[in-house]
Amino acid sequence: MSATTAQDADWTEEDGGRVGLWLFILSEILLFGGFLASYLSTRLGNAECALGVVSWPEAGHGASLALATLNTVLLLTSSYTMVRAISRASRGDADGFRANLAATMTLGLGFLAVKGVEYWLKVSHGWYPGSEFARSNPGMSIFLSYYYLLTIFHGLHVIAGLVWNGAVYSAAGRLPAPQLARKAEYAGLYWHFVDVVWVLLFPLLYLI
Amino acid sequence: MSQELEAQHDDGVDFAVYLGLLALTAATVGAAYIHLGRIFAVATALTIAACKAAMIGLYYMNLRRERPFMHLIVWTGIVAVLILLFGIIPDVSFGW
Repeated sequence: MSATTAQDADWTEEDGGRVGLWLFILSEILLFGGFLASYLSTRLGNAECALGVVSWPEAGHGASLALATLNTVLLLTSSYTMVRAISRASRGDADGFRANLAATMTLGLGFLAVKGVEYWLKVSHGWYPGSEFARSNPGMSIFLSYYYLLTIFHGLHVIAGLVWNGAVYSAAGRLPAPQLARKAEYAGLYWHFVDVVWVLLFPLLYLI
Repeated sequence: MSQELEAQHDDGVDFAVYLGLLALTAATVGAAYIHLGRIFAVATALTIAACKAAMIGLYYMNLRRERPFMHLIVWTGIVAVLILLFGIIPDVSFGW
């Protein structure tokens, strides 16, 4: 027991928190990984859904791609401002932390707004599972089911990240700097993971 | 902890990574307009996405400075997903 304690003496409470968060992220990797493998197997293994078969009408694809590219830039920028927020929190700069975290949350809300516009455009053109258009294009119907499943699921994670960031933002005034830095780091890890998921979804749903 | 975190974040490096991520986004969109063929299109898109994910993981999530145990956690997930992906290869329609 004493040997174990000595070996693990350099592990701190903060390390324990990060281990817990990385284990949570592991569960998310497996969750999204399962969905993505299923999507790829359908897209690559089904003749009606296979690559090379037009899955988006050209005009609609263009609008979707523009909005998705904008969303990619928004999320990448939000990751950058999140890193700045964590950096400011670790330096005890509460104002800098708040400003950067507010920017992160604004960009996250922007992502959801753009996604809402994209959904509205798609639904208004009949691009949803079960529509007459989808029924006449079986491959498209399968694709749309995956598209809405994956993007809505990811959107829920963005909302969860916004709530988490909001909680850390509101705690900024009453926590000592080291504690705030730790909470900011945890919120940041989750936010960056949500960004990573989008980085993978973007080419798979819009570019191939 | 705060001193440790402060040492881990370099504003210049963080900004350079951000610019790199934007450049790779432009590259992946641009590559989609070049008719590379099915296999190369998928390989290019996934390679660029993997590079972006690695940059975010290593620099923004600070994995490059994390304990080996955290790397073990992440690689457990990555390997599990890769097993799923390689398991579908027999069913993949390459159009050959």
